[in-house]
Amino acid sequence: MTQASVLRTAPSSNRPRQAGLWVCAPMAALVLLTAGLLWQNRTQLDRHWPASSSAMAELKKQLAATKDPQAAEAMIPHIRQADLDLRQQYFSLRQQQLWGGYLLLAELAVLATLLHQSLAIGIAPAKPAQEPEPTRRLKSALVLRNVLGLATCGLLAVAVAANFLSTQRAAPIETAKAPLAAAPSAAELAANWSRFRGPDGSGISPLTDLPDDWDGATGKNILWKTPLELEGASSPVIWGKKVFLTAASKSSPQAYCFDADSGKLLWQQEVPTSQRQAVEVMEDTGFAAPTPATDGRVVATIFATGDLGCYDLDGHLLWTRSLGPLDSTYGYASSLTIYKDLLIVLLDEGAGPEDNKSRIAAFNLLTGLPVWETKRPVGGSWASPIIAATPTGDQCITVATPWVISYAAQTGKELWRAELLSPDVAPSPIYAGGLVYVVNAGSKLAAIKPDGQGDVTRTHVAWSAEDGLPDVVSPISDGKLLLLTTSGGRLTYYRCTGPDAGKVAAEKQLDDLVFRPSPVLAGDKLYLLAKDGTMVIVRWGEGFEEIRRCNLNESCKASPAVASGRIFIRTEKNLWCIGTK
Amino acid sequence: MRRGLAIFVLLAAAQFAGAVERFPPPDFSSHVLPTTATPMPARWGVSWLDVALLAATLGGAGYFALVRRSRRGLVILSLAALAYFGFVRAGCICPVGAIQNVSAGLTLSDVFLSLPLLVYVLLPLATALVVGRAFCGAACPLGAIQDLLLIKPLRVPQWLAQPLGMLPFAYLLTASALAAIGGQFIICRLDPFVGLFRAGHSAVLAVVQAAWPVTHQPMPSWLVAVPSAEVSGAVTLAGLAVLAICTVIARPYCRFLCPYGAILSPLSVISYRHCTVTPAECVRCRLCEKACPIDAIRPPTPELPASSRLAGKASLVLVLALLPLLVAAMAWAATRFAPALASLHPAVHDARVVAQGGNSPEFDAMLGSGLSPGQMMERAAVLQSHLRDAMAIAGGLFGLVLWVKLLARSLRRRRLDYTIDKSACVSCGRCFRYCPIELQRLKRIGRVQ
Amino acid sequence: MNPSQDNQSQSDTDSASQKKELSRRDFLRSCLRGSAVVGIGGVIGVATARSSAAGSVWQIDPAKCTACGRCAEACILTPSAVKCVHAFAMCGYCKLCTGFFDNQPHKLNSGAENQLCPTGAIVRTFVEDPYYEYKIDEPLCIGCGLCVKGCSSFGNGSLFLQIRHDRCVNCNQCRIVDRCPSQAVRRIPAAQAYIIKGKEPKR
Repeated sequence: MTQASVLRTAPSSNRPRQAGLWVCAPMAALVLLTAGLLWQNRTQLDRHWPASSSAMAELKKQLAATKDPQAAEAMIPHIRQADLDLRQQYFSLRQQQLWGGYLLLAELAVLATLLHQSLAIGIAPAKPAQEPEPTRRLKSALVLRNVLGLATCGLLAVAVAANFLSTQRAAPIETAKAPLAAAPSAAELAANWSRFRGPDGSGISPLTDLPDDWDGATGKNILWKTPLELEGASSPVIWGKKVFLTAASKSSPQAYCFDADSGKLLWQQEVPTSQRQAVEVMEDTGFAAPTPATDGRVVATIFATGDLGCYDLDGHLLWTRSLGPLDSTYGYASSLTIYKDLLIVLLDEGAGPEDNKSRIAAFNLLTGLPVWETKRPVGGSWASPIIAATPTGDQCITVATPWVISYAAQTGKELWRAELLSPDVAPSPIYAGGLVYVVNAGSKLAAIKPDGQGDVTRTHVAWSAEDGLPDVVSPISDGKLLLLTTSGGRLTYYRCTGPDAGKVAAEKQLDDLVFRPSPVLAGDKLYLLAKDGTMVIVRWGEGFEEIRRCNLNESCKASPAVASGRIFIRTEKNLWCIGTK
Repeated sequence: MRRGLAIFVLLAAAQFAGAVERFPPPDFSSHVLPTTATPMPARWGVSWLDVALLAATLGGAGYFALVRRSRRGLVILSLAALAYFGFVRAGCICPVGAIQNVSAGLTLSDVFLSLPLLVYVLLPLATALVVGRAFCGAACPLGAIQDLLLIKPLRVPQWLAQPLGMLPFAYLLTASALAAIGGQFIICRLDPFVGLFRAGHSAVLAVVQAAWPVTHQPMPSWLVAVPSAEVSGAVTLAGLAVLAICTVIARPYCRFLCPYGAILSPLSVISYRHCTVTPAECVRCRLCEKACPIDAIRPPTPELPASSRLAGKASLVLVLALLPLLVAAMAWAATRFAPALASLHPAVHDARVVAQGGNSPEFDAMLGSGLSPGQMMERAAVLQSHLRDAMAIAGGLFGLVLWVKLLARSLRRRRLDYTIDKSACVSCGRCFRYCPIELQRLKRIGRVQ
Repeated sequence: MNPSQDNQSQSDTDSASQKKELSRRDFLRSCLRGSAVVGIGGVIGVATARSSAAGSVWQIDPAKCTACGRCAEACILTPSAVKCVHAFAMCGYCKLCTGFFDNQPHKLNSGAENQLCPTGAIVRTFVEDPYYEYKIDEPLCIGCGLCVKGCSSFGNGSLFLQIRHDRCVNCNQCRIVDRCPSQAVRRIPAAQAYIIKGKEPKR
């Protein structure tokens, strides 16, 4: 037997093969034609997507714009016809697409079969090739190995490229914003009013040139006033020439920036909010009670809904974060605190510690990513935390029922706690003369030495007192003298140093005045803002020496903010700037 | 704890969303509220029937490839497989894609893995241990369609075929890593044939349904297992291109992409039995040399000079020493793809869209979910780091495979006969008829001398 | 002619060494085969513990869905397997249904100029004053979600999107999953193939 006879006999000529190919050519043309038509049909279908028909929208708009009822009635049949046409067109296009697809499939099947048949006729038998020389085979084996090696190198190169590309691409996502500038210096902070009650939350300003005479009715010493559309109990904060403020309705939290010189609105941003969150607040508190915080790099805002929004000073949203819905009896009111690169948020929720909801959290100022979070064994509170620069380090002091707790500002680790306050705590703590002062109506005023550890209730309370305890207004102290102001206008001065520490130095009742805003001390002048807009300016000292009363004749809940010789007061309807220059 | 908090917030929001009742539903005295229809399909995913049919096909393939040595039998089997697994089941139960389900099912706690599907994936693997890649040759609809379309095979030169042959491993390992973190099933997404199967299924069903009213009977549910529907973009341009390539290059998907083949081929190498070119002793007539369209027949090795043996030994030592380096390099290289691949996880994708800013449906969804961009990015970062770990493992394994391949190239085993490369052979039975011994066995020719 | 006849002697020695090598290789192979069997068995063992006889199906979680409308076009089917579904028990049977009527309808009737649905797939029927019932004509519905948005923004949210399993082909990888902005599509047990609003199991 010869090799050739083993195999199929080859055809004598190529004629049948050529004939087969001639049949295939028109079939291939038909396939291409069908495919082209289908493609065209497809593009038409995309344009006729009913859910985004511009023609129908246009007709409906015309109908809405037509005032004359008769003309409108006349339009209706046209619209209905157009609607029917559009839909018929869409559905018939879809049907064409369907059957066209089937047709294409069938044609492809036929073409494949034809090709198979016509080409198979002419396939020549496999002829063994000349056996290659051994060295050539060896070489080819070596070449294969080299090829694999090269492919490996290629893959590694691609990986390196991918690495490079991915870091390039990851950049706009993870570090799109320019890295934060350095945190402001102490001097910069002192020159501005960066948070609720000033840089350290004490209500004390180093300024001595604040105005002490103005009148809202005559406009005396009123530099500007800008009307506010939405409500809010939050106080303004100031950085350089910019005044920041928040206001909100139930569904729309807003952040504003005003020009400190003219009161002109520089920008306004709606903080992204989750519409699904059900938050109920007392009317008195409102949705914008927490005061924003700034440090010259960012301005951070929070609302009763728990929506945090952080902007740069030009109003570009850096990040948002929804911490809500917050469960707060009166409505969430704790103000924000910025410490170095951290935004510290006190989130005291629920009726009591058993609800296990309260926490304090710190977020990265630039990214909004959480840095630390610490659970708190307390119920809801309405006071704001402060940062106390104690000799042993920076502490974040918080007050709530029943615990006063201090945390390491950088790490969120609890440093000490004292069981002192109850019930609903609203006055914020202060740090003056090396002592932390906490107070609330219904419990006591206490001075705590901040160098303890663990439960310091019995060991580190320097002194405590129970006269003239406020329920809303925060205390103010220069370290020697401390003033408490009740809502009902009762002022109580305490001595803080010497053997008399904790003794009442003086008392005064201001009749007919109700106090909600917290006082500001600038130089030797104490500014006591009452709810009706009356500012009682008092000489700081043990004797009550009233300098003047100035009036804006407008209800106000927010504490005043002071910077560059001016006082900024948010009243119910306006933002006022008081100053002489 | 933070995650717990997020879930709490989410649940609170979700419950609220479910409880909106702006307009209280009326209490009708006579009107009865309609019920919301919840129609069910005839079958879900892989059924035991599919498993039984697959087992029968695999058994038949083994029988036809090893016992009967019948190419015709194998072709008929593969046509049947194409008809059932391809066009009746619309191509969407296949062990190829189901590897990802197993990968996800093993790592993720919230992924359901159905028992029939598990058996369906592992049955061909078990078969490969006994008779080699019988699945590829006769039971796989993807293989069948490629085999059918082959009109004039062109050889792929070895320098190209060898590196391309590594692709299935890379594809398998990448897809498994991605599935393990809950990402997209890219094998299913990039399957070039499934669109054809769906469209074909739909076309056949449409024709049957059009003809059905003649009998005045409703169509039985087994026939409408998958509803007739227009399949948009089913036969994609890329799919058609692959089909066109199939006409001149034999089984391009099987050889250069199929991730399931990457598992089957090493198992096939150690299979208990395997089909052979010749039914008896090879006579080295070289007639089968070009018979295999996928180059799975290896010629005898040449006699080598002693000097090259020494060089071979040196390079063997080198290759052996390469193992840790290769594994480490590949593991590192693979992790570099993690950031780009992570976008194939929906949560990472959404977080990145939101982080880029601007209005998007993703941003709206974020507002509704109670998550912040920061939280989303945080979750994305966690997922990305998981993927990086998974890719490191995958890369290490790829390095190992690469090393084994290099090793196999360095070990020079003597081959005297034309033998089948068990890792590549799909038992299609094309080569049987080229062997004179086979023809002699079939009594087509006289005794070969 | 047998080519091997040419060097008969060499072939003999070769086959002897080959046999030895073969048996060694066979031993190695059977070891590997054994470990592969153990490996497959292991996968079966681990996976069986996490598997169930029933399969799973894709479904939209209405609590997460924002009715963005992408699933109408993302599905491999045209029209999409996603359709609007009505939870009648939640419906307020409003006369002015914000899922049915376009923004500021000309008149409260089912004329094309008043309807929100681009394919007229919602059927409005009078029940008793002032209540109207709204039903979905599923063959017409394309799953665009316009009515869902309308109903959940201003109404009770009783209209919502669901994957209809009489249409869904249950792809191993759902195309809608890739496009869904809220990751609302997930696999759920086939035994409970729908998430009907208002009927959700208590958490």
